[in-house]
Amino acid sequence: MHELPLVRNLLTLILDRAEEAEAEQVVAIELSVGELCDAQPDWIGRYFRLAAKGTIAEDAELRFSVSEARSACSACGREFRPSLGTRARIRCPFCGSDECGLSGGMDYRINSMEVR
Amino acid sequence: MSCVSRIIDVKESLWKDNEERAARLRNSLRSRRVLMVDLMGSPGSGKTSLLLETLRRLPASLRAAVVEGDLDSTVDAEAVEKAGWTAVQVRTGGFCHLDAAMVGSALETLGFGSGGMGTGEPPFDLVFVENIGNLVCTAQSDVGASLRVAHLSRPEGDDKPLKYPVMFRTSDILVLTKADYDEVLTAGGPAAPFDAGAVRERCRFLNPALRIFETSCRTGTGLDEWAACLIDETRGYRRSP
Repeated sequence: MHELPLVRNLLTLILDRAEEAEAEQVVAIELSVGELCDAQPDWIGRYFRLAAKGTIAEDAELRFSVSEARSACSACGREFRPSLGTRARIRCPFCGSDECGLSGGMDYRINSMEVR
Repeated sequence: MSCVSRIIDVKESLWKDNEERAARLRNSLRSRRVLMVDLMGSPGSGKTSLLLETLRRLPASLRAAVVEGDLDSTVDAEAVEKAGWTAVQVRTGGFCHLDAAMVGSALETLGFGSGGMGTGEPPFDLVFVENIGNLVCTAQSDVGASLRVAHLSRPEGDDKPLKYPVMFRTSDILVLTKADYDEVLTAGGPAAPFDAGAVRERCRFLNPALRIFETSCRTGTGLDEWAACLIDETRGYRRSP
Protein backbone atom coordinates (compact mmCIF):
# COMPACT_ATOMS: atom_id res chain seq x y z
CA MET A 1 0.00 0.00 0.00
CA HIS A 2 2.81 2.43 0.78
CA GLU A 3 5.05 1.31 -2.04
CA LEU A 4 4.37 4.49 -4.05
CA PRO A 5 5.98 7.01 -1.66
CA LEU A 6 8.85 4.58 -1.15
CA VAL A 7 9.39 4.31 -4.87
CA ARG A 8 9.56 8.10 -5.08
CA ASN A 9 12.27 8.09 -2.38
CA LEU A 10 14.07 5.28 -4.15
CA LEU A 11 14.08 7.07 -7.50
CA THR A 12 15.28 10.39 -6.02
CA LEU A 13 18.08 8.64 -4.19
CA ILE A 14 19.38 6.62 -7.11
CA LEU A 15 19.14 9.50 -9.60
CA ASP A 16 21.15 11.68 -7.19
CA ARG A 17 23.79 9.01 -6.82
CA ALA A 18 23.89 8.35 -10.56
CA GLU A 19 24.39 12.05 -11.24
CA GLU A 20 27.21 12.28 -8.69
CA ALA A 21 28.86 9.33 -10.43
CA GLU A 22 28.28 10.94 -13.85
CA ALA A 23 26.53 7.81 -15.01
CA GLU A 24 24.62 7.61 -18.30
CA GLN A 25 22.42 4.71 -17.32
CA VAL A 26 21.33 2.87 -14.21
CA VAL A 27 21.58 -0.83 -15.01
CA ALA A 28 20.49 -2.46 -11.77
CA ILE A 29 19.55 -1.67 -8.18
CA GLU A 30 20.08 -4.05 -5.25
CA LEU A 31 17.45 -3.60 -2.55
CA SER A 32 17.00 -5.17 0.84
CA VAL A 33 13.40 -5.41 2.06
CA GLY A 34 12.47 -6.68 5.50
CA GLU A 35 9.84 -9.40 5.67
CA LEU A 36 7.91 -7.44 8.30
CA CYS A 37 7.67 -4.32 6.16
CA ASP A 38 4.56 -5.15 4.13
CA ALA A 39 6.22 -3.98 0.94
CA GLN A 40 5.69 -6.26 -2.02
CA PRO A 41 8.61 -6.43 -4.45
CA ASP A 42 6.12 -6.87 -7.33
CA TRP A 43 4.42 -3.61 -6.56
CA ILE A 44 7.66 -1.75 -5.98
CA GLY A 45 8.67 -2.96 -9.44
CA ARG A 46 5.43 -1.83 -11.10
CA TYR A 47 5.45 1.61 -9.52
CA PHE A 48 9.12 1.97 -10.30
CA ARG A 49 8.46 1.42 -14.03
CA LEU A 50 5.91 4.23 -13.99
CA ALA A 51 7.94 6.63 -11.86
CA ALA A 52 11.23 6.09 -13.68
CA LYS A 53 9.86 6.55 -17.21
CA GLY A 54 11.94 9.04 -19.13
CA THR A 55 14.86 8.95 -16.67
CA ILE A 56 18.22 7.18 -17.00
CA ALA A 57 16.86 4.55 -14.59
CA GLU A 58 13.84 3.51 -16.65
CA ASP A 59 15.37 0.20 -17.71
CA ALA A 60 17.05 -0.60 -14.41
CA GLU A 61 16.63 -4.11 -13.10
CA LEU A 62 15.45 -4.24 -9.47
CA ARG A 63 17.01 -7.06 -7.48
CA PHE A 64 15.48 -7.79 -4.10
CA SER A 65 16.84 -9.63 -1.14
CA VAL A 66 14.42 -10.27 1.71
CA SER A 67 15.81 -9.75 5.20
CA GLU A 68 14.20 -12.20 7.58
CA ALA A 69 12.97 -11.55 11.09
CA ARG A 70 15.08 -13.57 13.56
CA SER A 71 14.53 -14.54 17.13
CA ALA A 72 17.16 -15.24 19.76
CA CYS A 73 16.36 -17.36 22.81
CA SER A 74 17.34 -15.70 26.09
CA ALA A 75 17.52 -19.09 27.82
CA CYS A 76 19.73 -21.16 25.50
CA GLY A 77 21.07 -18.40 23.24
CA ARG A 78 20.19 -20.14 19.99
CA GLU A 79 18.61 -18.34 17.04
CA PHE A 80 15.55 -19.34 15.06
CA ARG A 81 13.01 -17.96 12.64
CA PRO A 82 9.78 -17.12 14.50
CA SER A 83 6.46 -17.82 12.78
CA LEU A 84 4.82 -14.46 13.33
CA GLY A 85 1.66 -15.09 11.30
CA THR A 86 0.22 -17.93 13.37
CA ARG A 87 -1.54 -18.05 16.72
CA ALA A 88 0.84 -20.58 18.24
CA ARG A 89 2.79 -19.17 21.17
CA ILE A 90 6.32 -18.35 20.05
CA ARG A 91 8.77 -20.64 21.80
CA CYS A 92 12.38 -21.58 21.22
CA PRO A 93 12.33 -24.74 19.06
CA PHE A 94 15.50 -25.96 20.81
CA CYS A 95 14.70 -25.57 24.51
CA GLY A 96 11.01 -24.58 24.64
CA SER A 97 11.56 -21.27 26.45
CA ASP A 98 9.23 -18.38 25.59
CA GLU A 99 11.79 -15.77 26.64
CA CYS A 100 12.80 -14.84 23.11
CA GLY A 101 13.69 -11.53 21.52
CA LEU A 102 13.03 -10.35 18.01
CA SER A 103 15.43 -8.69 15.62
CA GLY A 104 15.68 -7.84 11.93
CA GLY A 105 13.01 -7.91 9.28
CA MET A 106 12.53 -4.13 9.27
CA ASP A 107 15.01 -3.18 6.56
CA TYR A 108 14.21 -0.96 3.65
CA ARG A 109 17.52 -0.21 2.05
CA ILE A 110 19.32 0.28 -1.20
CA ASN A 111 22.47 -1.77 -0.88
CA SER A 112 24.15 -0.86 -4.14
CA MET A 113 23.52 0.05 -7.74
CA GLU A 114 25.12 -0.74 -11.05
CA VAL A 115 25.61 2.11 -13.50
CA ARG A 116 27.18 2.74 -16.86
CA MET B 1 32.43 8.45 -20.10
CA SER B 2 32.94 4.73 -19.82
CA CYS B 3 30.67 2.03 -21.22
CA VAL B 4 31.79 -0.49 -18.65
CA SER B 5 29.31 -0.85 -15.83
CA ARG B 6 30.35 0.00 -12.27
CA ILE B 7 28.90 -0.79 -8.89
CA ILE B 8 28.12 2.09 -6.54
CA ASP B 9 27.86 1.24 -2.88
CA VAL B 10 24.77 2.96 -1.48
CA LYS B 11 23.59 1.37 1.80
CA GLU B 12 20.90 3.90 2.57
CA SER B 13 17.47 3.49 4.08
CA LEU B 14 14.59 4.43 1.82
CA TRP B 15 13.05 6.17 4.81
CA LYS B 16 16.20 8.23 5.37
CA ASP B 17 14.82 11.66 4.41
CA ASN B 18 11.78 11.31 6.62
CA GLU B 19 13.73 9.74 9.49
CA GLU B 20 16.17 12.65 9.53
CA ARG B 21 13.43 15.26 9.41
CA ALA B 22 11.46 13.43 12.13
CA ALA B 23 14.53 13.30 14.38
CA ARG B 24 15.12 17.05 13.93
CA LEU B 25 11.50 17.80 14.72
CA ARG B 26 11.54 15.53 17.80
CA ASN B 27 14.73 17.16 19.11
CA SER B 28 13.35 20.63 18.53
CA LEU B 29 10.10 19.86 20.38
CA ARG B 30 12.05 18.16 23.17
CA SER B 31 14.25 21.21 23.64
CA ARG B 32 11.09 23.31 23.96
CA ARG B 33 9.63 20.71 26.36
CA VAL B 34 6.68 19.87 24.16
CA LEU B 35 5.35 16.32 24.09
CA MET B 36 3.98 15.18 20.74
CA VAL B 37 1.92 11.98 20.70
CA ASP B 38 1.22 9.98 17.52
CA LEU B 39 -2.19 8.26 17.68
CA MET B 40 -2.41 5.32 15.28
CA GLY B 41 -4.85 2.52 14.53
CA SER B 42 -7.41 1.23 12.04
CA PRO B 43 -10.31 3.34 10.80
CA GLY B 44 -13.00 2.97 13.46
CA SER B 45 -10.66 1.76 16.21
CA GLY B 46 -11.85 4.63 18.40
CA LYS B 47 -8.95 7.08 18.10
CA THR B 48 -11.13 10.20 17.94
CA SER B 49 -13.50 9.12 20.72
CA LEU B 50 -10.63 8.31 23.05
CA LEU B 51 -8.88 11.56 22.14
CA LEU B 52 -11.98 13.59 23.04
CA GLU B 53 -12.29 11.76 26.39
CA THR B 54 -8.57 12.30 27.02
CA LEU B 55 -8.72 16.04 26.28
CA ARG B 56 -11.64 16.37 28.70
CA ARG B 57 -9.46 14.90 31.47
CA LEU B 58 -6.44 17.19 31.02
CA PRO B 59 -5.79 19.86 33.66
CA ALA B 60 -6.28 23.46 32.52
CA SER B 61 -2.55 24.07 33.11
CA LEU B 62 -1.67 21.84 30.14
CA ARG B 63 -2.12 23.57 26.83
CA ALA B 64 -3.07 20.93 24.27
CA ALA B 65 -3.68 21.00 20.51
CA VAL B 66 -4.57 18.41 17.90
CA VAL B 67 -3.25 17.73 14.41
CA GLU B 68 -5.87 15.74 12.53
CA GLY B 69 -4.76 13.65 9.59
CA ASP B 70 -7.41 12.56 7.14
CA LEU B 71 -7.42 11.39 3.58
CA ASP B 72 -10.00 13.89 2.45
CA SER B 73 -12.53 14.75 5.16
CA THR B 74 -12.54 17.26 7.99
CA VAL B 75 -15.07 15.59 10.35
CA ASP B 76 -12.53 14.69 13.04
CA ALA B 77 -11.05 18.19 13.22
CA GLU B 78 -14.59 19.58 13.40
CA ALA B 79 -15.41 17.24 16.32
CA VAL B 80 -12.29 18.36 18.20
CA GLU B 81 -13.00 22.06 17.59
CA LYS B 82 -16.64 21.63 18.57
CA ALA B 83 -15.41 20.25 21.90
CA GLY B 84 -13.49 23.50 22.37
CA TRP B 85 -9.94 22.51 21.43
CA THR B 86 -7.55 23.84 18.83
CA ALA B 87 -7.23 21.56 15.81
CA VAL B 88 -5.35 21.74 12.55
CA GLN B 89 -6.48 19.58 9.69
CA VAL B 90 -3.97 17.89 7.40
CA ARG B 91 -5.65 16.45 4.34
CA THR B 92 -3.31 14.02 2.66
CA GLY B 93 -5.39 13.73 -0.52
CA GLY B 94 -5.29 9.94 -0.48
CA PHE B 95 -1.77 9.53 0.92
CA CYS B 96 -1.91 6.61 3.37
CA HIS B 97 0.07 8.09 6.28
CA LEU B 98 1.38 11.34 7.71
CA ASP B 99 5.08 12.09 7.59
CA ALA B 100 7.34 14.50 9.45
CA ALA B 101 7.08 17.20 6.77
CA MET B 102 3.25 17.21 6.85
CA VAL B 103 3.20 17.31 10.65
CA GLY B 104 5.89 20.01 10.69
CA SER B 105 3.78 22.29 8.51
CA ALA B 106 0.70 21.63 10.69
CA LEU B 107 2.80 22.65 13.73
CA GLU B 108 3.80 25.80 11.87
CA THR B 109 0.09 26.61 11.48
CA LEU B 110 -0.29 26.07 15.23
CA GLY B 111 2.41 28.69 15.85
CA PHE B 112 5.48 26.51 16.45
CA GLY B 113 7.55 28.42 13.91
CA SER B 114 8.95 27.47 10.54
CA GLY B 115 8.48 23.75 9.82
CA GLY B 116 7.38 23.36 13.45
CA MET B 117 11.00 23.90 14.49
CA GLY B 118 11.08 27.48 15.74
CA THR B 119 12.59 28.63 19.02
CA GLY B 120 11.28 30.27 22.17
CA GLU B 121 8.16 29.69 24.24
CA PRO B 122 5.96 27.14 22.42
CA PRO B 123 2.21 27.84 22.03
CA PHE B 124 1.25 24.37 23.40
CA ASP B 125 2.70 21.81 25.86
CA LEU B 126 1.08 18.74 24.36
CA VAL B 127 0.26 17.99 20.73
CA PHE B 128 -1.78 14.99 19.64
CA VAL B 129 -1.35 13.83 16.07
CA GLU B 130 -4.29 11.71 15.01
CA ASN B 131 -2.84 9.73 12.15
CA ILE B 132 -4.66 8.30 9.13
CA GLY B 133 -6.67 5.18 9.99
CA ASN B 134 -4.25 2.49 8.87
CA LEU B 135 -2.34 -0.28 10.67
CA VAL B 136 0.36 -0.67 8.03
CA CYS B 137 1.88 2.54 6.72
CA THR B 138 1.59 4.69 9.83
CA ALA B 139 3.69 2.15 11.77
CA GLN B 140 6.68 2.80 9.55
CA SER B 141 6.46 6.53 9.08
CA ASP B 142 8.03 8.54 11.89
CA VAL B 143 6.20 11.87 12.28
CA GLY B 144 8.60 13.20 14.94
CA ALA B 145 6.45 12.24 17.94
CA SER B 146 8.05 11.17 21.22
CA LEU B 147 5.23 8.84 22.19
CA ARG B 148 3.65 6.42 19.74
CA VAL B 149 0.25 5.07 20.73
CA ALA B 150 -1.45 2.21 18.86
CA HIS B 151 -5.20 1.64 19.21
CA LEU B 152 -6.79 -1.77 18.74
CA SER B 153 -10.52 -2.21 19.25
CA ARG B 154 -12.07 -5.50 20.26
CA PRO B 155 -14.34 -5.78 17.20
CA GLU B 156 -11.24 -5.77 14.96
CA GLY B 157 -10.19 -9.12 16.40
CA ASP B 158 -7.31 -10.38 18.50
CA ASP B 159 -5.27 -11.50 15.47
CA LYS B 160 -4.05 -8.02 14.54
CA PRO B 161 -0.57 -8.41 16.14
CA LEU B 162 -0.16 -11.53 13.97
CA LYS B 163 -1.11 -9.69 10.80
CA TYR B 164 0.45 -6.28 11.43
CA PRO B 165 3.43 -6.94 13.72
CA VAL B 166 5.26 -3.71 12.90
CA MET B 167 2.56 -1.51 14.46
CA PHE B 168 2.88 -3.39 17.74
CA ARG B 169 6.66 -3.54 17.50
CA THR B 170 7.19 0.18 16.99
CA SER B 171 4.62 1.62 19.44
CA ASP B 172 5.29 2.70 23.01
CA ILE B 173 1.73 2.19 24.21
CA LEU B 174 -1.16 0.00 23.07
CA VAL B 175 -4.71 0.96 24.02
CA LEU B 176 -7.25 -1.84 23.70
CA THR B 177 -10.41 0.15 23.07
CA LYS B 178 -14.12 -0.76 23.23
CA ALA B 179 -13.55 -2.90 26.34
CA ASP B 180 -17.38 -3.11 26.60
CA TYR B 181 -17.70 -4.85 23.22
CA ASP B 182 -18.61 -8.25 24.68
CA GLU B 183 -21.49 -6.62 26.60
CA VAL B 184 -22.74 -4.74 23.54
CA LEU B 185 -23.29 -7.92 21.59
CA THR B 186 -25.59 -9.52 24.11
CA ALA B 187 -27.59 -11.55 21.60
CA GLY B 188 -25.47 -14.67 21.46
CA GLY B 189 -22.28 -12.76 22.28
CA PRO B 190 -19.61 -11.67 19.81
CA ALA B 191 -18.92 -13.96 16.88
CA ALA B 192 -15.29 -14.24 17.89
CA PRO B 193 -14.46 -13.44 21.50
CA PHE B 194 -11.46 -11.17 21.84
CA ASP B 195 -8.57 -12.90 23.60
CA ALA B 196 -6.77 -10.00 25.30
CA GLY B 197 -4.36 -12.48 26.92
CA ALA B 198 -3.20 -13.70 23.51
CA VAL B 199 -2.72 -10.09 22.35
CA ARG B 200 -0.66 -9.30 25.44
CA GLU B 201 1.45 -12.39 25.02
CA ARG B 202 2.29 -11.76 21.36
CA CYS B 203 2.95 -8.08 22.06
CA ARG B 204 5.37 -9.07 24.81
CA PHE B 205 7.32 -11.02 22.20
CA LEU B 206 7.18 -8.26 19.57
CA ASN B 207 7.90 -5.42 21.96
CA PRO B 208 8.70 -6.16 25.64
CA ALA B 209 8.57 -2.45 26.56
CA LEU B 210 5.03 -1.92 25.22
CA ARG B 211 2.63 -0.59 27.88
CA ILE B 212 -0.97 -1.75 27.49
CA PHE B 213 -4.20 -0.04 28.61
CA GLU B 214 -7.80 -1.20 28.24
CA THR B 215 -10.52 1.44 27.79
CA SER B 216 -14.16 1.92 26.92
CA CYS B 217 -15.49 5.37 26.01
CA ARG B 218 -19.06 4.07 26.53
CA THR B 219 -18.67 2.80 30.11
CA GLY B 220 -15.68 4.95 31.09
CA THR B 221 -13.50 1.90 31.87
CA GLY B 222 -9.80 2.71 32.07
CA LEU B 223 -10.14 6.32 30.83
CA ASP B 224 -8.89 8.01 34.01
CA GLU B 225 -5.93 5.65 34.24
CA TRP B 226 -5.01 6.30 30.61
CA ALA B 227 -5.37 10.09 30.98
CA ALA B 228 -3.29 10.02 34.17
CA CYS B 229 -0.51 8.23 32.33
CA LEU B 230 -0.50 10.87 29.59
CA ILE B 231 -0.53 13.73 32.10
CA ASP B 232 2.43 12.11 33.88
CA GLU B 233 4.29 11.73 30.59
CA THR B 234 3.69 15.38 29.71
CA ARG B 235 4.77 16.63 33.13
CA GLY B 236 7.83 14.38 33.11
CA TYR B 237 8.66 15.90 29.79
CA ARG B 238 8.37 19.43 31.07
CA ARG B 239 10.73 18.66 33.96
CA SER B 240 13.23 16.77 31.83
CA PRO B 241 16.35 18.66 30.72
